[in-house]
Amino acid sequence: MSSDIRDDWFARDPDMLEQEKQPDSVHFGELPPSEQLEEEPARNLKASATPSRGYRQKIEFVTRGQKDLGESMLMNMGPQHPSTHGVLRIELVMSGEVIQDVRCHIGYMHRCAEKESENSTYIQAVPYTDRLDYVAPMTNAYAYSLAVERLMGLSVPAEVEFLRMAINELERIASHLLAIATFGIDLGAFTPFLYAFEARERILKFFELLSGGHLLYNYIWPGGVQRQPPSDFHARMEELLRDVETAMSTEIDPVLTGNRIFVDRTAKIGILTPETALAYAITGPNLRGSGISRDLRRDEPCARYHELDFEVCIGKGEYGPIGSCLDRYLVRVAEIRESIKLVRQCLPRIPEKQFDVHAGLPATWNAPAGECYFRFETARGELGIFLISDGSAKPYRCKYRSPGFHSIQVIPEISRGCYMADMPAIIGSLDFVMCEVDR
Amino acid sequence: MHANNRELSLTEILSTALSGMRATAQAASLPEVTEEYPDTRPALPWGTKAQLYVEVLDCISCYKCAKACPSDCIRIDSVRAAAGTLADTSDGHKRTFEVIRFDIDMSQCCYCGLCTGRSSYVPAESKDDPAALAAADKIAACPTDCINFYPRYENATEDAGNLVYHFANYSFDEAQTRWNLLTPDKRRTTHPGKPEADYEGAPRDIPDPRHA
Repeated sequence: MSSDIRDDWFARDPDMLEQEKQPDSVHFGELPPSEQLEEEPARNLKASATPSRGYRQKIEFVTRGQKDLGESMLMNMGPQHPSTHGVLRIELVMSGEVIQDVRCHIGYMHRCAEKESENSTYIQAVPYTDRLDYVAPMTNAYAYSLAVERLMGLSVPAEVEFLRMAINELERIASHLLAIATFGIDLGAFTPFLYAFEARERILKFFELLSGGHLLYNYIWPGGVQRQPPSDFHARMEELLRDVETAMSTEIDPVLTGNRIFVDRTAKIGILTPETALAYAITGPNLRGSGISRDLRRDEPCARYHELDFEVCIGKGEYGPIGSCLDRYLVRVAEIRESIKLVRQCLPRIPEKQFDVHAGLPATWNAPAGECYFRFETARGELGIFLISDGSAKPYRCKYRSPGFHSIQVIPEISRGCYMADMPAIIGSLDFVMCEVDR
Repeated sequence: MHANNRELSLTEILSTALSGMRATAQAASLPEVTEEYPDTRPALPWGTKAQLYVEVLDCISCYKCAKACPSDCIRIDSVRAAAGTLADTSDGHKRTFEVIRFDIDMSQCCYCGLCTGRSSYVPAESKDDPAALAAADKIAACPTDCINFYPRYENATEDAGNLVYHFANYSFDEAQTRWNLLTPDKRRTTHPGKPEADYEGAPRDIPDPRHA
């Protein structure tokens, strides 16, 4: 601003001029003298755990044992980047096109889900659990319901449990379809995205018929489900499974997995070694993609999963090192097939005629005093729910351990040394939902 | 760690391209799944959580819906009516309090359906089946089935205030006058301590979605 314009402004506004004369006055965009950064001598720091403090912090030159790649540049990806799957801000320390370091900033979607759950009764909190992970709401509500059932000591009739398990596995298919669709579109494959969404839409339409909501259902309740399924439930379910299977085998799978360019593009980036995965408490398909056979449905059977027969799919590293983006993608594709098998096993155990889906609901929502930690294998990994009850109808404390929160922490580990263009692929292959991360 | 830049052989290029093209060709023969929305309006299934509607003459002011609501979007004020002046509800419940204000803020509603009556807990084909309705009565919040969801889904307005729906047969001024005339033992509200809110400009009547 040239000085004469500035003087002109002050002449019009005597208050401003008065303020200017004060010795400690602070103006927009300027730090007060006491807080201004001192010039530090240049240092070549090793890996630093100091969290970023925005613009005030100088960019540290992180070498981490690698050869000095020249001048580094700070780049912001997000929070509104389409491939961040929500609102995630990623700071990239770049050296040319190579990523030197990554810092993830979360918290843009924080909506006090835990506090809201503590201020609601156990049944009122179910709509909030739907909003934790809006890509797979049925699974979240199911995990919460199982936790509340364990806390309250409820028992659910077998046919209702199989109905809920069938719906849960269907929701897992819907979630994995979205995961592989967005993974493809992050790499520029638009056509399979549309095919996967068409298949996902069929599942959502079915859920809409079942529960009345297209995306947020409030269908699975502690002790049962909200509504009776329609009388043509079995026929519709069979048709749905056939459609999804056809879509997978003729449309989605050949276009992505059958595409050599897609395979070459993803098979050697984002390597999550089994050791790193365990160190960062990664769970779900991301952990299984690293070749570790761990599935809570098999290892800690809850509901009636021990009565069903299914395989735990793990990454094999056929096209490159184990734990690559492709391995995580292939695990999801294989899990869709396994989930279809699981739903097919559940269907004959659900009666064709109408049955009482509200038989297991408690008379009151007062839970006995005590606490309960329950973990469940959702489409993204281990969702832990910790409830403390003081004997009233509302939990004294409610804590969600979301799998995506841990997936985000591993991004710096697996993306160092990759190209900038690989970053969307790495983020897409981890398949987190920011609503669940920030809760 | 960098992606390899190995060149693909001609057969690989061709087979990759052909498998993709085959999938596209197969999909081209399938029926269309998209719909031209404003021209074709889908009929949503019964029980779709889209628009709450209250049959206010069936309301017995039990406030169970307001207590069940997780987002606290239902406000009911009612006053005690003189004996014999109120008709019974359509399913035979006695009414002693008359609802002078039944407001639902649909912008706060989270569409969970915890407030609704028995009709919303049965599938479409058994909505006239008395046995199914009696079974659903056990869990429904509303004992008289006066508040339910209807699949009326084009509810967008230009002003968020227009999403506060009034279902009582009293205008805001009439309700306030009636409320102030009565002694505190003859009036009840779901929101004690919050006597009024500015709902000017909101629609008083909405079309009954059951006949739409």
